[in-house]
Amino acid sequence: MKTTLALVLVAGMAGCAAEEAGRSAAALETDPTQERAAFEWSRAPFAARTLAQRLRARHTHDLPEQVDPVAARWVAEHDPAMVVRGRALSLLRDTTPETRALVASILASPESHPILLCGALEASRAFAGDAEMAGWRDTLRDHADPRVRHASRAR
Amino acid sequence: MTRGALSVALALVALAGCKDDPPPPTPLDCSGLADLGVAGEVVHETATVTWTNTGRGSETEELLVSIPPDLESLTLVVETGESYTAIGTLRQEGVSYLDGRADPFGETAPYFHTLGQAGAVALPANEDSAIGPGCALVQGISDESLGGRTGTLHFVTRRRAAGGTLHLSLVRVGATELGEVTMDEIGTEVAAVFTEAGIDTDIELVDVDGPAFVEAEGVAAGVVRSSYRPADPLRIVVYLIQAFSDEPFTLGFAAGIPGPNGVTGTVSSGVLISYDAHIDDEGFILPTMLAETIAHEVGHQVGLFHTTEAEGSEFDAIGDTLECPRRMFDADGDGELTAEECETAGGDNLMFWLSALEFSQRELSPTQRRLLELSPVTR
Repeated sequence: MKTTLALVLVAGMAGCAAEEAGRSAAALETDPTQERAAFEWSRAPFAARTLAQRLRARHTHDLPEQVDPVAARWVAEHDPAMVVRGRALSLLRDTTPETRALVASILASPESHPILLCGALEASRAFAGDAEMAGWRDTLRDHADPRVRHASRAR
Repeated sequence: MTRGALSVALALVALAGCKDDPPPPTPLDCSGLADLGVAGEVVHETATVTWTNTGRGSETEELLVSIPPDLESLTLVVETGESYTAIGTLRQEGVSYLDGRADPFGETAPYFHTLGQAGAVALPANEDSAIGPGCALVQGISDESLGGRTGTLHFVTRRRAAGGTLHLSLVRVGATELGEVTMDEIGTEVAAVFTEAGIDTDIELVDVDGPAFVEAEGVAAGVVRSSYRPADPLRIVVYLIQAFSDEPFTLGFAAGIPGPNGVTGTVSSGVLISYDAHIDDEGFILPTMLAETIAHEVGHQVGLFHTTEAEGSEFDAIGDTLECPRRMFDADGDGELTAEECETAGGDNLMFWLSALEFSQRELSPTQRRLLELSPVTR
């Protein structure tokens, strides 16, 4: 048995004599090498540069699961891209005094950029039983930025 | 612009035999059917289909379509609202292009086709996967029980030579704040990336109402992606939002590889990009990073895969893109390939898995360029 279905032409687009006003490919006004060269690597600890490269994954499912905390803290404080800083923070899992100090300095300042706050909130999960951390997380549950509210309420 | 009525017949192939033991494929007979598309044009045609439950999900009728000899590319989309669907079968006499039942996770090159919202596939996907002329059988599948519901099969045909200008719409959503940069400047940066890659662009700048913050997981992303229907449907729409409220570290993402190009208004009709994920430590935009992200995601939406994946053991199915195998290029032995480690082996390709820290990534291979030029959104 065969049944015939009708196809409907939705759009035929070729031979468009009157294309909408197009954009010409204007000259690039910013120098991409300048944008990238702004980062000073000479003082970076071992592994920080490689970590900063890996934290530039185009998709978050490709981010590393474990990071060297020394390198991650350095990237979190120095990388020129905010999202890379946030990613570095979010991957911290250690409870060393250095990491606690970094995370606390961000969470204690609600005016920190929301990306940093989200990264610090993720890192703060390692500090189970830390009342001060819990207090900051509670405070941020009502933050004006939806990213921070979401991150502070995540379990 | 030419628009005209077109009537093409599709034949429904009778479903026969036992579901558990399907009979061998019957010869495909498209006699009496008009060819898909229109000579010299890019055309979008649709057919309404009905889903039938199968026990492992559902499937549509099998449809026969006649592929003309001058077809340059074909985009197939099966769509039922927000449901996850795929082209389960695409075959011709003696040739099987897609078999979703045998490959439910899309592991087979060159299409790597699997379920998606408004699941789409584009042929060709590499140097030697164009569909040939003659009769072809198409069937949609879903892992959801959609029995009794109707859906749409879209056929976007290109019967004109490859080449032309890539058409994009850059759409700012709602109250998304762009800081010191303008939409025009962002568009210029995106055009510059594609120009260096050898692709001319036509970028429409648009503002639409909508939420500046969008959840990446859930219905909100689909609502945004279906919110703008360009007057010219043969465009890839790039939605610029402030950020993903549930994924603050996500740069952006395409709706599929490929997306349903040429089909507007679906939950997968567009690319979502976070503006805030492309600012520096002082809040200023990183225009190169933003433009390369947009171009990368447009590449996915057109149908380009990562040239090399993270571990250097998986590559796209294109013959002329450089591969960066781990055994040769993992200089620090950490098991992953950075763009810098692969600088001489495709690390500068726009579709590398990782954004480079130290150089631009604006290279496309000749075949990648050709696939872009075969897309319905390039003309």
